[in-house]
Amino acid sequence: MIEVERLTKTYGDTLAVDDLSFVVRTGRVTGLLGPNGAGKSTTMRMILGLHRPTSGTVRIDGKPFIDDPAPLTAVGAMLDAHAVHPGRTARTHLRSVALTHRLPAARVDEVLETTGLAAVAGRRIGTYSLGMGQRLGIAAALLGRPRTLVLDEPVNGLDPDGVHWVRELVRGLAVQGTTVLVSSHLMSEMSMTADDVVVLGRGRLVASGTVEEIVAAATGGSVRVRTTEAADALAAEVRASGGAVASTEERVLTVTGLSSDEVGALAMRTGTTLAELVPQHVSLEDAFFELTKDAVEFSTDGASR
Amino acid sequence: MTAPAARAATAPVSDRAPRLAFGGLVASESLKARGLRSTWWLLSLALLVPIVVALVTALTRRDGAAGADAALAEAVGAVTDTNYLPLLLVVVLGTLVGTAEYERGAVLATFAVVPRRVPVVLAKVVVVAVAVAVVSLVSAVVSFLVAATVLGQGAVGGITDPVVLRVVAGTAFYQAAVAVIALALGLVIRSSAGGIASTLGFLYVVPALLQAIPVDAVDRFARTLPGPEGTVLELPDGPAGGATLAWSVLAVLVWTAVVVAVACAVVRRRDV
Repeated sequence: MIEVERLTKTYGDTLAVDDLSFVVRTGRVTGLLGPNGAGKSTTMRMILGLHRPTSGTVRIDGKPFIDDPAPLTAVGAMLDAHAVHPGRTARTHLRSVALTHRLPAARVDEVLETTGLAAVAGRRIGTYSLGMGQRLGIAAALLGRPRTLVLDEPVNGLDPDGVHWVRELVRGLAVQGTTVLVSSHLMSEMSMTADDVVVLGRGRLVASGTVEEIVAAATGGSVRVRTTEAADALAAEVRASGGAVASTEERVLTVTGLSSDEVGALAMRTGTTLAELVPQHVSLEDAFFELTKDAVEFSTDGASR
Repeated sequence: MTAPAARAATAPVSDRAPRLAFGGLVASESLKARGLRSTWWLLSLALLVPIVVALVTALTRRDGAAGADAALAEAVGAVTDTNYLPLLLVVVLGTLVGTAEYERGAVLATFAVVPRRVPVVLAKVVVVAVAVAVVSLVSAVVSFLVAATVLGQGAVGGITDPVVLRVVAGTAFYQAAVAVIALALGLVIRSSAGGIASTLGFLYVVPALLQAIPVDAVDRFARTLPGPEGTVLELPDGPAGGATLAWSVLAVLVWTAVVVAVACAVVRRRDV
């Protein structure tokens, strides 16, 4: 479990992370979401102790990460897949990480096998493609069989096969009891990978909860109703029952505040013939845009706020 | 007999449990240094250049060396006259081992694995100091023997001469210290060009500037800097007497420790 408590980080006058608190639960995949500049990477670096928080604390499994006698087995991290010296080979890089904790060379071969890099392990990292570099970063994170896994944008630069592989990998590890924190700005990807999401905007917590909760909170849930004739009676009945009605086209109502079951019952009571009765689901992507529309640092309309 | 057997049944798991240890860090840093081609180039050059230079020097001076004493002095000179060459090479080596961490931000991965950071700096110090001392020692001994062989007149036997031993050991010690200073400044400055420039500035420019100030105390202070003290250690005709020599060793050790301590403090505090 990762507990982030009132974390704040300022760089000069810039407030990168602002009074951020959230919990990453064990055995689940938590997605850290936000537009560019939202503070995702800074937050991850503070979790790993690489950046000093201006204030606030982070605990991993109840204690500060810096005190762990075997940090590699506590947290496996990939913070920047390209943060490796391009002149070394993948095997040398991984062995140098393994040696710090006296892990056997066989473990290096295992992660090379797991990440599909065994065939290119003897090549200099500088010659790697984007996707291979990403796999190497994940290999290093897995090396110590860590209880917590922190991956910053792990699917960047991966082909569809690779994206699928990362998704299966982190879901599998979570099932085995690993705490997983994965950042992304790809909402559609997170909706398939994460159990919980933490949404950041301009360094602040915008929302946190399960994927379902975030979607529900952002939209309130609505029901689309199409009728075969004018539906004034149904609309009046819906309002009388506490729902709200919006109508953008002829004989179509968008009802919020009532479930589809309730709307169906009202239709029967008013003798309205229904042609469609559809609960509207929005994607996590829509929810994300809804939640962060006031919190993007750079927007394409030319107005940077 | 039962107790050890019982322990053997349960202990291996905890014995082999991965744990961060300084020995492992030294092995890791050694592997990282060996994984860079620049390390091999620089160490090979630091080993071979002095030997070649000593050979050429001895060949050109062979006729002038009349008598055993003159031959021995020429052999020592063939080793010491150009000792700035390997020194420059180990400055570059130390700097690159330090700045390699900051190339493309590799230090992120390093400090995510060793969050306390200071042990990483100390492990690098051990690796650089040992590698440079060994290479320098071998290079100086071979250089002397090559030069002495060329010069003849029994000069080879001079390898057991106290002055020769002092020069060889002093050179190895000073070069190791300078490489460590370069490593530490490389870690602080994070740029290879900047690190090399500051090391050379610290060794040669700062003492020269200070000594230009006509105040006795400043001059005495400037003489304790590693650059001036290094000349004492590397040359056969430095101030004689055990006390002065011990003082030079101490001064170089203290300054090296100070620079390493600064590097530890900066590296520990700085966001990466």
